[in-house]
Amino acid sequence: MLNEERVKMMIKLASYEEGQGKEDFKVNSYYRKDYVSFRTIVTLIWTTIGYGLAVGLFFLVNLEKIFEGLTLAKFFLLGVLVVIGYIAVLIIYGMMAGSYYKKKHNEAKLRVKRYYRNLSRLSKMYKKENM
Amino acid sequence: MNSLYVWKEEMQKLYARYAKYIDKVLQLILGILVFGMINSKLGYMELAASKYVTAGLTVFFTFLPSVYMAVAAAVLILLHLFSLSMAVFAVTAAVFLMMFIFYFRFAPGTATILLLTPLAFVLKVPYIIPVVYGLIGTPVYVVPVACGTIVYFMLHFVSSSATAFKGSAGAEGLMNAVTEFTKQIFTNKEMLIFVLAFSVCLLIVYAIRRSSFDYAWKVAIAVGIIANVVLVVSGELVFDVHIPYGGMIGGNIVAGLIAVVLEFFVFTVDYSRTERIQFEDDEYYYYIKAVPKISVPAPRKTVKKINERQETTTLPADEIRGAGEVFDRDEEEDQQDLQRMIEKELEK
Repeated sequence: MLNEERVKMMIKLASYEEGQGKEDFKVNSYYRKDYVSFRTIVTLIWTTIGYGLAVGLFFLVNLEKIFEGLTLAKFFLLGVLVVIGYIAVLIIYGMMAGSYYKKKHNEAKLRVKRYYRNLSRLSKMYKKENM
Repeated sequence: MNSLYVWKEEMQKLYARYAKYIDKVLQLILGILVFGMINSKLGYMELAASKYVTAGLTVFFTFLPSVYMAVAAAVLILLHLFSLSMAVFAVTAAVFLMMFIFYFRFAPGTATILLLTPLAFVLKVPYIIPVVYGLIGTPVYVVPVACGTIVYFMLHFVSSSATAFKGSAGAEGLMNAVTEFTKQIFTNKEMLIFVLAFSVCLLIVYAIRRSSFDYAWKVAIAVGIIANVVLVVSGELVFDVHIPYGGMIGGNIVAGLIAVVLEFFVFTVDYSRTERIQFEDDEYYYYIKAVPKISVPAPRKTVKKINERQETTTLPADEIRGAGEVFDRDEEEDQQDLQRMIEKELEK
């Protein structure tokens, strides 16, 4: 005879495996420190590309204004501003990415833990039924 | 009013029962509107603009999470723009990539807002967006709403001045087109007004609806609508651009109505039964305000059949008479027993 509780547990586990579980298992396969560092580095690379695009578009919009009366001092100042902006964006996104991926890893770990606990409960249910 | 709450309960039950199908139908409608809108406004690539492609994309992406629909919409837009002009394609791709890098990588779930905001603009009801997302969202929703507004104005500009960018051949022509297009989209004053107005409005609505005073949600809706009008009109005066007042007033009325309906489904409380509790521990004083939710359970309907046809059989008259005798005799015996018991009790 079907055990209703067991079927419910199986549905819960299967739906987790098919949905959020896929991502969670991937995240959980890394140590937290490794995962956070790796994702933060990837974020910083993306941020560099994004910042490059943003600066490029800014220069395109203000091309005439920038080249109007451009001196070496102005050019140097502009370069310094671009670099300062880049460092600021890197720091902000680096910190944000660090805390975001730390939280993500913690949550995934908790969910995976809960999944394994439910899995062991399911196995006990089977054993109890077969006794 | 009570019947409305009952109706709400029934609607919620119905949704809970058929959520899977209702969500898919809503996603299908969203897909038809999004892909249809892109193909009708920017149908520069004939192959991609056909109604079969629209239908195919809609059906396919109905069965995938909505974030994939946003990606597909972006790719479709880029395909059309690639057919129009390399310059427009390059700038739009750069803008999309920046949006992805700086925000949507971290919150892909909010990509639906990126689809809904331009859609609301096309349907002439953009004012709904900041009010609704201020009510149900968080301050971070300012980013996808702003991105959606930028996307709408960018595409609107492309569709209204497509001929100017067609056939910009040669390296110099391409560079000029890129510069011109970038300048046009990022110095669009109307776009700046809407981005600023919607961001401020969303934050105001969010701040008010999170407050603990009575009728905070209703006040948030009203203030949000007023903020929309005041900010857009102020922007209009400052930047000297014309935004039609009819659409603004009509759009805000619709926004208010939709927000009230949303409040009815999401946040129904009874302020007349508010309880205030005050207590203290070693470190703090606590002032608690508890507002009960209104919930009227939907009545259970039981169907009672009054005129139900029953099978009848004819019994022989002797049997009926006999049964009557049995019944009479039983009743007589009961009476005698009762009499005997009473007499016994009296004798005691």
